[in-house]
Amino acid sequence: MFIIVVGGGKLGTYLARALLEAHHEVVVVEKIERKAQALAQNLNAEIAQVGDGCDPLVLEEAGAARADVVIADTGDDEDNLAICLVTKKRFAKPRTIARVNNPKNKQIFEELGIDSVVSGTEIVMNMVAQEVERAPH
Amino acid sequence: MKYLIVGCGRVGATLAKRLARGGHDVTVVDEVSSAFKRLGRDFPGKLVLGTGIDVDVLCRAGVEQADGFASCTQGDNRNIMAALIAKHHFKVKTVVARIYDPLRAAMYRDFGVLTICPTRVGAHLMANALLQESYRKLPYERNDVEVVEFVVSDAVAGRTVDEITTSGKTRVSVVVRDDESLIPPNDLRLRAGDRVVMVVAPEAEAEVRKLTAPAMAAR
Repeated sequence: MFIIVVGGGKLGTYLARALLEAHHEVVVVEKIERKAQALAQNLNAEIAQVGDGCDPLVLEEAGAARADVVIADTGDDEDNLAICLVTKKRFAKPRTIARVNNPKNKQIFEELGIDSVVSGTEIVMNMVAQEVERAPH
Repeated sequence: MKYLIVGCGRVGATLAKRLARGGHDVTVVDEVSSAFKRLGRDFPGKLVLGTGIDVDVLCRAGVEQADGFASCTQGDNRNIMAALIAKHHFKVKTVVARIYDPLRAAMYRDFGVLTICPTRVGAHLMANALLQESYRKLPYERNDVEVVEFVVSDAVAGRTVDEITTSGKTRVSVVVRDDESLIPPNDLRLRAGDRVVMVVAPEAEAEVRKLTAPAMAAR
C-alpha cells in the first residue's frame, strides 16, 4: 500500500519504520525541516517531505491522490482533523486515520466522518488501569 | 439572540462588542485571560476561559443554547474544528469561521459552515482601490452568485434599470449617482457615469460586462 503519514515526530518515525518494514510505500510529511532531516537519517530512507500537511497543495505533492491511506498523527487535534477533512474533500481515494490527543475528540472526529480514530491517551490509560487492577494488593 | 464567539483577538472582540451593542446575549471564549481586556470594562457579556475546541469548554459557554457561533482565533485549523463541533455536534443553527487560506475557506463551505476569508476579501478590496476599474467584482462569500459594480457607459445611458435587467439572472441593487446611493425603481433612467451595483448569476456575467465601456475609469 501507499501510505502518507503527516507528522514526523516520535510516533511518526516509529510508525514509518514499521510500515517500511512491512514493505509499504511511505511518505512522511513534516512541517519542521530539522525534524524531517532527522527522520530521514533515522530511517535511512528519503521519505520525508517538508511542508504543512494541512495544506491541500502539500498533500497533493506528497501524492495523496494515489495514496491508499493518509494518517494524521501530529500532536495537535485541530491539525489532525484539518488533514483528514482536506484529504476526504479533495482526494477521493485514501482512507483517513487520525490520532486524537484529547480522548474527548474521538467521538467528534467519528461524527465528522474520519474513517478511523485512535486515541493514544485512552489506550495507555486503559492499559495502566488494567495493570493497577492486576497489581497485588 | 444568543451568540458564542471563540477567540478574543481584534476581530473576536470587535464582533463581540458589536453584537452586545445590538442588545444580544454574547459569550466570548479565549485561552488567555488577558485577551478579554480588548472587550473593555463595560462589556456586558459572559467570559469563559478555555479552548474552543473542547466540548466541555463549549458546554460551559452555553453552546447548546446558542443561536449563532463564530470562531475567529489565530489558527485556521482551530477555527474550522471549533466551528464543526458547534455545527455538527451541538447543532448550532448559524456557524461562521474565519479561514485565512482561500483554498480551504472554499473547501470547508461544503461542510455546512460559513467561512470568511480575510485574505481574499482584503486582497479584493485593495485591488479595487488600486485599479479603479470601470467594472469590478465586489467581495461576496459565495460561489454561485457574483456582485459586480460598473460605470454606465455612454452607449447604455438613457436605458432604464428594467431594460438592463434579465429576469431571474440579474438584478440592480444600487445606483450611485452624484455620490448618493439610490435604491432604484425599475423605470429609473441611467446616466453616463452612474455606478451600478448588480447581483448577477455567473452565467450572465459576460453579458453584464458589455454594459460598461472598458476604457472608462471609475470615479
